Amino acid sequence: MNWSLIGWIFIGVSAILLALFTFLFRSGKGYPIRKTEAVEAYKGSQVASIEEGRARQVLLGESFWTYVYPGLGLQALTIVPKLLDLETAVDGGMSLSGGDGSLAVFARQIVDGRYQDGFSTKLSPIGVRTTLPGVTPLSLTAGLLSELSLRPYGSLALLGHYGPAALLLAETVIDKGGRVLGTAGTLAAQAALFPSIQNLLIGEMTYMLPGLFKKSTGHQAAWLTEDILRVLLILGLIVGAILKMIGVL
Amino acid sequence: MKKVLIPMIALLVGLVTLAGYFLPTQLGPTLTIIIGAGILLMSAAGLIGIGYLLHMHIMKLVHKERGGFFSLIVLLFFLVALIAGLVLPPGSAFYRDLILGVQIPIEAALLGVLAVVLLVASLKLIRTRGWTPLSIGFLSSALLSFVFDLGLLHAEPGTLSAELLDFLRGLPWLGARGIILGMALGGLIVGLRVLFMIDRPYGEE
Amino acid sequence: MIICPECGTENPPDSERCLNCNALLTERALEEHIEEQPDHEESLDLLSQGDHDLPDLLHALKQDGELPGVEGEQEDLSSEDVVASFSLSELEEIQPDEETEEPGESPVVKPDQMPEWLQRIRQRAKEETDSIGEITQKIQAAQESLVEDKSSQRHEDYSSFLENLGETFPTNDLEAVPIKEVVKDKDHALEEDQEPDWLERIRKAEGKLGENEDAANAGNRDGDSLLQWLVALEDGTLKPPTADVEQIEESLQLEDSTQELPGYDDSSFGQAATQEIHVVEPGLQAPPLLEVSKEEQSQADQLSATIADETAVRPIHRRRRAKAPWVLRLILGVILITVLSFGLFTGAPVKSNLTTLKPHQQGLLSWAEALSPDASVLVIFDYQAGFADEITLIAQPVLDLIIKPGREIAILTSSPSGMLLADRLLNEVIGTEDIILRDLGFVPSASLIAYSLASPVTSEIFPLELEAGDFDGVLILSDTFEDAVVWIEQFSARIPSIPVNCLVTAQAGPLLAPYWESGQITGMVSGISEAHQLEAVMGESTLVAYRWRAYRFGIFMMIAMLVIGATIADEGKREDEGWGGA
Repeated sequence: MNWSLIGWIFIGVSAILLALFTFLFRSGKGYPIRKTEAVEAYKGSQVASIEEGRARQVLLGESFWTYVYPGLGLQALTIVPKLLDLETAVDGGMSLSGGDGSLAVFARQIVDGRYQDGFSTKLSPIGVRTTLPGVTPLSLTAGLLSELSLRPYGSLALLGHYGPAALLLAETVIDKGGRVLGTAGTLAAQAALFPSIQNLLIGEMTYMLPGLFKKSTGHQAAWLTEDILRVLLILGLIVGAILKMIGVL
Repeated sequence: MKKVLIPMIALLVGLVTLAGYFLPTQLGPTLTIIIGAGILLMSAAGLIGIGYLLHMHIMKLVHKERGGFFSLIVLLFFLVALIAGLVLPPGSAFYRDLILGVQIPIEAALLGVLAVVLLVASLKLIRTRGWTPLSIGFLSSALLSFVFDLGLLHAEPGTLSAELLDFLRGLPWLGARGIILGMALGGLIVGLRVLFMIDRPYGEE
Repeated sequence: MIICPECGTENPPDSERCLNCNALLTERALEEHIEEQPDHEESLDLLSQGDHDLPDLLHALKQDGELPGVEGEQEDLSSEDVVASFSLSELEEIQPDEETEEPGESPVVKPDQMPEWLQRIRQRAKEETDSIGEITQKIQAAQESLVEDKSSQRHEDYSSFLENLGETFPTNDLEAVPIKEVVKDKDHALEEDQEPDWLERIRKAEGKLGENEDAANAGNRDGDSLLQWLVALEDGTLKPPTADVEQIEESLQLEDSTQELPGYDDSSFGQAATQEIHVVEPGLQAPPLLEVSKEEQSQADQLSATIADETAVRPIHRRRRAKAPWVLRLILGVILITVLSFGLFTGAPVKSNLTTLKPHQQGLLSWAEALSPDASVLVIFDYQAGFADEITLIAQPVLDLIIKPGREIAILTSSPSGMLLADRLLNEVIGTEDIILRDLGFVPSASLIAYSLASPVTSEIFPLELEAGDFDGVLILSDTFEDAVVWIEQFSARIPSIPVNCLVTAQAGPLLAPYWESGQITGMVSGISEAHQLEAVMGESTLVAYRWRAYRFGIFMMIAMLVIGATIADEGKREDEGWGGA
């Protein structure tokens, strides 16, 4: 028995719980949704931006996959379909930006997937744009900064993996009267954004985001699984600390 | 079929890579192929990213959008850098100074602007967030870290003061570890959701 | 008694104007009124002026065939032509004094004396049930349009009612269904006062009936009984139905008299643009009921409330934006630059009195000093160009210790400009010394390369043709915690015997402390403050001292901003943004 084996057990329990709850929620009632005001405010800003004719920007992050936060890029892509409603597709004011070729390609595929049902970009060239302003973190910030400065944006969503330089993007949008929704990027980014924007989801709250936009049984099962694992982790930490204190560990 | 095949391939590759930790000798050749393919894929993604960037600026020029002049500058300097990199030998001092002479000042200036913005943000912390437990914790942690970083407080190693200073210095980072643990948990669930095909973000509902 | 054509009020016989609504009552008064107001139109007067001059029967004739006495094309006949087509002799055959209380009665005209057109009309009336005149048709249409919101069902009921009337009461027997208990016997003629103007005009347009012609003579024409009933309806002598229409259909029985129901205001009947048609049925007292469930009522109430809320006057909410936020940034930026410049360019460098280093700093120093003369070190450059100066300040004293002649230095980077930055840094450090440099190049994925380096080589085909065992130590130069962790975890997990050291920026240092505490890294120096301490202990004087003073001034400013912001805060949230999140 070693620590890596405990880690494997943890992963196994997660997989079993996730599968079990997904099956249960499909046949019965689901898990209560925790309403987040940040998400509600962002949804309102989307509507307001469309009505006011302002553009909207979504940053998918600097990279698709990182070693420390492996799920952030994928999480950002998971949120994108929830944002692509009919009004957004027709309005044509939304841009999806990423700092990684993988992110840009996947985002483009998701956007095109929305148009597979008989929609042609030749008929309506406007739509959701996918851009790649820069290939490195600071060049991404510089490129996006110039884009945000050209016209007033109604909203900015910071998703995925990004650094503290995202604060510059947030302040630019806020100065022009837009609203910002920030989800957990890196720790430094969270620390930089915390004093400036109100609608900030810290830590694992970002993984709840797709379900908060549009719930599904899979998301609800994931929430419940995460809650159970969180409790187990807390208990494990307390037990470990106590054992360390008494000299067992 | 495609919906099942791609996640199955991803799962298989992940399991083989994981097994390579436990059976490095037996799975060495397989791992070599997987790693090589992975590096190739990442490199291709990087090239696609550059291509996407160029496409974006070219479209801006073609459609005569706002900021097209700056896109023209970007494209021109990209061509210059590309041609110079291909023509000049590796390790050329001229090429190094040409690139870094532009990149370092620009990025340093951006970080300088970030510093000023952070300064203003620290001024508006309470105004933005209000007096909540989280904002009070953030404020006290930041003040503690800055004070310790000034280097004015010293203590002899092994003394109680040193222990206390180390404890206070490490206190803000306890929350950071908690956040990292939570994000690791969330990342685990996201990965499992995609592998089990519970979540398919690529245009399928 | 004279019944007012406007409001239906009974008035004394000698009154010229109605006591209730002051409308003209007498024929002469009506005529005078008509002359005064030649353009006056009644609500039910849907006929054009030309049509007014043309009786409905004449219209019917016009539709059926040629008019007698008119030669040539009859399509564009004017009313005068039509009237002229009638011979007075034919009309004189009609006995003007004939009573018309029973409108259905055919005029007492001998068949051989009856004009041909009249014969055709009567024949048609007998054969066709819908042979009511055009005027009557238009009256019907106008009355239907006057029904409010009960159009379809009521119209159907009304039409069926009319049909039933026609069936139940043949024209001979049909009497204008009085609303009031005014029973008219057969000998009682309809008073001319009750006739509307349009009817008067029609009869005048005939021209041959004369002024003294009893209006009832018009009833000699077929359908006049129904016409009279409709006229009475128009005059408001009929009362609205007070029961469900279905009940009306079921219990449809016309009697000679009906009860006058209270509450029916027919003052504007015949004059207003719309009018309410009510059919009174005996015995039906309750008004028609509309059944609404509670849910429907609540939904209707909610809809009403929503509509009222949307149309309610509200102050326009304007987002409260900070006025010229760039001014504050500009001022603070100028202050910051001034303060930092003061720290950089004035005064003597700060000398540290430290003689001992922190454990993680000492660990790095010890490792660097313990390297063999022919050691091979892997140096990983994983930072961005913006942090180049800070990394240079931190790494230079350590690299001075490591890079000695005879040692092999391998350079690897996963940052796009990493090779250029490595070249720049090493040129400043190495100078002209003979150093063996292995340029391993740029790799796009640090994790994959780290994994491959840390795994044993079992094949000749390998990405970099080396393995971690080739090195005596690894030195990681990084600006972020995340980039450093990739290398640390792979090397420490796969080959824990290789020492791993870090030279990182101040933002990465605290997060890497646990790795030092767990023994995964041998040593670490993070930020300008620790670099200054390192230099102080090593006895070297570089530009770090000046930078360290400016750095301290910057930290003082940050502390001041935090304290001032907490002190002068308005204890509120920014109202132009939503409140939410963490």
